Amino acid sequence: MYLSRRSALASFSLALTMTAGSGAAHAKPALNGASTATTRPARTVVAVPLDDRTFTAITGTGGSKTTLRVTLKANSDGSPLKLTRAERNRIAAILGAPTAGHKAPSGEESSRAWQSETLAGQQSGPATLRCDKNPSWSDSNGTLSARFNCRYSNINWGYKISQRVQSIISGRVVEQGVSWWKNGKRMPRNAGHVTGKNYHFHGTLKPVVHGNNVQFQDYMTFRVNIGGKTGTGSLVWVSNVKAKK
Amino acid sequence: MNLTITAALEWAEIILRQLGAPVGHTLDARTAAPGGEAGTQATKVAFTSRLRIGGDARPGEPTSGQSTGSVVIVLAFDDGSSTSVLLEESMTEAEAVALLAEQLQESVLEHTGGAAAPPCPGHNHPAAAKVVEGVATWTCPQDSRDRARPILPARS
Repeated sequence: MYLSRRSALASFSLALTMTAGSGAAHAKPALNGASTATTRPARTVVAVPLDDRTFTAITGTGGSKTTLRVTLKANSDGSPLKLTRAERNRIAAILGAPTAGHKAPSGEESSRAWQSETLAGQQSGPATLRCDKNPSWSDSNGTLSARFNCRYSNINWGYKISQRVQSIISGRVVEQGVSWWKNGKRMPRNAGHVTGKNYHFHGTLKPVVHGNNVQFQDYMTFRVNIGGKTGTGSLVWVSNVKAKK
Repeated sequence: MNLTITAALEWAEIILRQLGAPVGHTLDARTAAPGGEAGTQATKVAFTSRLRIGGDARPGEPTSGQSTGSVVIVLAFDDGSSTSVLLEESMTEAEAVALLAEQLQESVLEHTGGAAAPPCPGHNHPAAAKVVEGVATWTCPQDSRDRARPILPARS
């Protein structure tokens, strides 16, 4: 069951804000705790075209949420890139971002739309991560897996970019490294990597013990080539779990 | 912790020697935004220092002995891949050294095909970096008492 906007606001546990154009991502830890885990199939929450050459697709699952953003370059002579509706639709389809008929919103409108849709897509609380179970959450952007290894008091995570997104990446991926919070306290960031697009990103969050609420996220950037049109892309994934024996 | 780029690079160099990092790797260090906030862009750096391991260090390149806040250490390999480790100002020295050792170990491990380094005497697995009684230490993941040794040499 999806939350109403009001109840989503009440249980909002992980706020991710993105600065349009900069690609910077920031997350804040929980302000209030929610304990009910939900499991839902992946679905695209929103796709907001910020302008004629930027495409954003936000996808949520029961355990993760990802944001894929692609900004195509201007024309080589410096003139603004003008895409036909057919081109926009084709690119949006590749990215999983249905944009047909959308009018590019202003910055404030975009931010408001993004926030409201983010809240609407927010799960009601952290997903439960049982000791030694190895759940994974897949969407059109990639697959996140996580395991609470209670014997060693850690969480092992892995992330693989989907084949569809890999198909538009034209160079190496710059991974910032997982930032994470335990019970609202920021913990040392995992190592970042510059590596190939088919790399299985992974890391360990520790120490984590029974009952800890762990929120973690990563940020990746890369160059893209979509049907000969080049640009830059970014992928942010966030997850919110509760470790239980 | 008053972290400096020079100190962080020295730690990384010592650790990489213990790990037997592959030939051709390079180390870079740069400052990060205060607190190393998520979203810091790697290109927005106020200062960059470079140290090449293997006798090719250029002492004339800029380094800093002053405290610089958070520092990012970047270990790059000759295949173009790299790993970056953020050492935050809020960490103790022991925490920073242990984190650096752990993350560099994992990176080297991937590039050497799983060689167990640094060795854990008597075992097939590598030693694990950990803070023990306030000191960054290589420990045995099975028995941390007998085989523990400091990651950094004792200061004279």
